[in-house]
Amino acid sequence: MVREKGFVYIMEVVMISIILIVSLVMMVRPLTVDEDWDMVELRRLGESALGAVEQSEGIGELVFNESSPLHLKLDNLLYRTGEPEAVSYRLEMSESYRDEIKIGFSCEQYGCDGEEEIWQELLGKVWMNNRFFRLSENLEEVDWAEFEDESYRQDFDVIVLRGQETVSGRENVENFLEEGGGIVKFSEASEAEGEMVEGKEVFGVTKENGEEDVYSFKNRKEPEKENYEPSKLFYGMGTTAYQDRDWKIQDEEYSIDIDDEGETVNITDGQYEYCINCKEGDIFVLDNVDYELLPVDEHDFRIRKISSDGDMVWIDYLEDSKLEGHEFSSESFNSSATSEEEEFEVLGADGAHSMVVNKPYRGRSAWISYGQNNPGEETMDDIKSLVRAGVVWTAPRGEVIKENEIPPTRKTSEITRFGFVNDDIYEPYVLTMELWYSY
Amino acid sequence: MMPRPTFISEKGQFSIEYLIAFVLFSVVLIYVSFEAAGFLPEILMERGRLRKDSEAHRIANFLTESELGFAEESYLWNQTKVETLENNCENDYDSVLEYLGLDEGSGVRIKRYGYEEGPGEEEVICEGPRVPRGVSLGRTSRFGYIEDDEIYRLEVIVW
Repeated sequence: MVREKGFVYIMEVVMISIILIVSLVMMVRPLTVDEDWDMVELRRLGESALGAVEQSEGIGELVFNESSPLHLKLDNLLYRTGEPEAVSYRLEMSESYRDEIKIGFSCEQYGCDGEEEIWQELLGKVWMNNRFFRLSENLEEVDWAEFEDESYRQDFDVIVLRGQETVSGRENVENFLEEGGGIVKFSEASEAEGEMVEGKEVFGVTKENGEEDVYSFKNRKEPEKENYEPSKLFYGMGTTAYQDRDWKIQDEEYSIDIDDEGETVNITDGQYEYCINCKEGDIFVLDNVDYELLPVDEHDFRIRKISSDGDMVWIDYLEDSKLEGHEFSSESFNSSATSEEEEFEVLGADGAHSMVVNKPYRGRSAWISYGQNNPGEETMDDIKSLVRAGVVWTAPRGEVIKENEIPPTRKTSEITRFGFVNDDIYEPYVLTMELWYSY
Repeated sequence: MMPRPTFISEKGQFSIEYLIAFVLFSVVLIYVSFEAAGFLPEILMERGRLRKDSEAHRIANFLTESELGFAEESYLWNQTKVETLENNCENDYDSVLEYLGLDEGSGVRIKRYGYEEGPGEEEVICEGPRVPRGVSLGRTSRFGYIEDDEIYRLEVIVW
């Protein structure tokens, strides 16, 4: 009895001691809570750097500036900042128009000889919102056999199709659009007769009441709809005229003569002089344009920019309300669009031209209809603006400005800034900066 | 035979139970003391660093966002005010400490980095005695620009 009693006491003491040790250790050891002070500091650094750049030079001025880009400025500012740790960052722009667009063209119908040159001519180089859109410099023939491969498809932002060229394989179209790609078709609407099923789903075109050569599209004049933006882009693109060829606008042709210094330009048609020694910003009127097509005020043009090497000039279609969210659209080329019903007409039997847009899946598509069986080099310059607007509109938005791999173990602080540029067209953007300590 | 009462023989002796309890208690006490000795300095250092970081932030905000500092408006600094602080610091460092709301025994170093001549061109605006060894440092940076000049980074270090 005595021994058993003592044994129980010892067991009790040992148990209490173990409980005491465990509970004391748990109570005394401090609970570690990450206060995220470093992340706050990073955020302050990033906001302060972006704020100083915004106030002193304007982010909008730098973000699209090729000679002094924003990320080089930030590289300088953040150099040795945050010592003893170094600060790294990644910068991404979204919502803005992409100025480097990888464009694929198909050449199964007309052969590949000269097809790239035709597209180079159609797409050209556009000066908009203080930067170049070099649409003709990233062209590549599409190999449809490889197009089933997703990694191959990702090499392209936009597929352009001329005349009877078409995307090979329905599934390819859907996949490409689902992945955010864009498709631009440039052909007479009647050429698409056999593709109307595809046309309806991809381009949103429907044949109206079974009538011959009459097609309609959706949401033509409503700013909140998808087809409002491409028409705005048409004006933002302006038109490009070259020193060594005629400027073909609204069914007329004009000669362009740029001085050697690239400072002034003369625009004539052999009979009249419309613009003599015009400099950037000067406004001129083409008197012999058919005034029934557009109101008189909208016939004005403005010299937007003359290239420094004197080989081309960019010209604005001057339309007073183009920066105010006006719904004026490319369909004004269709002279018969007067009644409500006709406003939805894409291509009448008279062969007028216009643009149809749609947003199927995640991507975008645009169909520029034109009264030619095989539209190409002889295309009028204002129609080229439609094609260019279609390409820029259908391309995915935004780009990574500074790529930098974030180490998986690092916590990051993210800053988002909203802004816009409005030199030739209202273009909003969202700038996202992620910062982290490198070590 | 009468049984021998047990309390007579146990009087004045430690029982085995009490001995074990005493040993275990001592072990717990020593263990907890060692644990505390391990993390308490770390906590105190972290507390000191956070306090100094907070001071650095307060001073940087005061200098770059207040008209009593350098600021004329958001991110725009006045060069004359920067030079005034530089002169005051050179002539009477302690009064600058007081102006910035720092205790006796604290210190501050304020530098400005320019980028016109390349990244990280350094200019000292206020520097007192050398930073003592082993003290907690608080550090922060702010960006701003001088009219018709360039963007600068202001670095504030407090101890």
